[in-house]
Amino acid sequence: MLKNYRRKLDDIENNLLRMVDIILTANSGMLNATKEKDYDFFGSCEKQLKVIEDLAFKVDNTIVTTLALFSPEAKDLRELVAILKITNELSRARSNVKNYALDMKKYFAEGLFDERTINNIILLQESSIKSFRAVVEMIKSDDENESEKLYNSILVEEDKADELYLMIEQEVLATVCDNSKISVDKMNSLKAIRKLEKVTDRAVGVADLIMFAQTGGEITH
Amino acid sequence: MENIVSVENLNLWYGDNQALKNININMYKHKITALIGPSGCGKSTFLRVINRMNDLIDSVHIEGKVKVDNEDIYAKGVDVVSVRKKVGMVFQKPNPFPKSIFENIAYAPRVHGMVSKKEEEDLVERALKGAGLWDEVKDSLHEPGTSLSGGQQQRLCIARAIAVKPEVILMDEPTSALDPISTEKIEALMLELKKNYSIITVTHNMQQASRIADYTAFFHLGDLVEYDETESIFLNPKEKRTEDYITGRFG
Repeated sequence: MLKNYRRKLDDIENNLLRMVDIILTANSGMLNATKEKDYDFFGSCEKQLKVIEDLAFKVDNTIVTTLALFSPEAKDLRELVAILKITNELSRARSNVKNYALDMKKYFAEGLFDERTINNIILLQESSIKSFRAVVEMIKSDDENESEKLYNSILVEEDKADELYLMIEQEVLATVCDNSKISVDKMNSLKAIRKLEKVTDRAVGVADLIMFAQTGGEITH
Repeated sequence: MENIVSVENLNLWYGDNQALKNININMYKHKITALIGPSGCGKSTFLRVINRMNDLIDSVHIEGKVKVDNEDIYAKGVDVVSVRKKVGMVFQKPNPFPKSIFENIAYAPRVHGMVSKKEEEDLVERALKGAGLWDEVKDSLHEPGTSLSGGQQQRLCIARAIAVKPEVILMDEPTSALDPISTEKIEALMLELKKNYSIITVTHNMQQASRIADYTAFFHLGDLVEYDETESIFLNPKEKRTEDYITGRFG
């Protein structure tokens, strides 16, 4: 592989990892903030997450240039096409995390949830973090067997996230009361929590694309 | 960026046939410049202008200025041999001298009086290392150059060119006679060589131009249609003729 081509690929991978790292940092920060009831942290997430959009444009433009200059084929081509779509998944994950942070800051501060629901939200957040940590390992791995194990672990986290969301939904709905203001807030909080559940779906989307890049076949996600 | 080759209002005729029309271009130091275009567009003719190889053709008439390292190489009194020492050339087909590998490298520096007999071994080793060939031939330096494979012969020719420490290396389709593995070795070598030399290469292989060149010049019917950073030429060409050529619509 020519050095200048290698440099482009390294540049793309490094920026992709930075994007995932920003999502992970925001999620981990919110997890700690939830545990410590320090909800001001939620307000600072938006600024951190904004960088993802710039990085996504940078990665996409580098890929277009790399396609134009190096005419990659087979695995090299699959990898670039996959990453072009991965940046889109990560941008959507960014939106999910940002919207969750903005909305939940208020609901947590208002004391809208009981301890059991908060614990389930913490578990949901942990699932999204675990799934994205596995994504990082998949991006770094060249070993197909290792990637497959990581992929399966992401699917497990997605299942967990689905179940946890359903539990949270039932808990919240069970506490909807006659006070219409509180009820509206509770219904809206479910929309926000759904965003957190979607972050794990995005991790699955990214993992599907990494599998396509590494093992071939067709793009399915 | 520092210019290494500057061409002003260059026109060239083969008899009555004008092959290059009012070419103006600055090529830069320590960069690879690729010349692309369909057959007969003038790119090889232009390449040969830069080390006065066209002087060998009787019917050629040239107007304009060609400066290499700020010296007009077509000015009166300029020694052609010194021009060709400054501007080395590698051809399409590997053409080692019918001599040993060692002699292929040592011959020109010896003729130019650049090295003593004692220094020759060092120079040969340096040139072969520079061309990425040393490890493959260090135990057979006195074997004929022609005994090497095609790709090795081409790298020997590159080593021969760099042995006289030129400013510029011209390459006329240097990989068109080579297999893909040898081609990749030459391309990787070109990327290394540009740290110390400026390279101007003619290629019919547009992927090669896009892979290795920093700048690309597109020629058509004797005109320099477009010259820009390679990325711009291959991603956002400004001229329709360039776009049509690189997308395979003509040529």
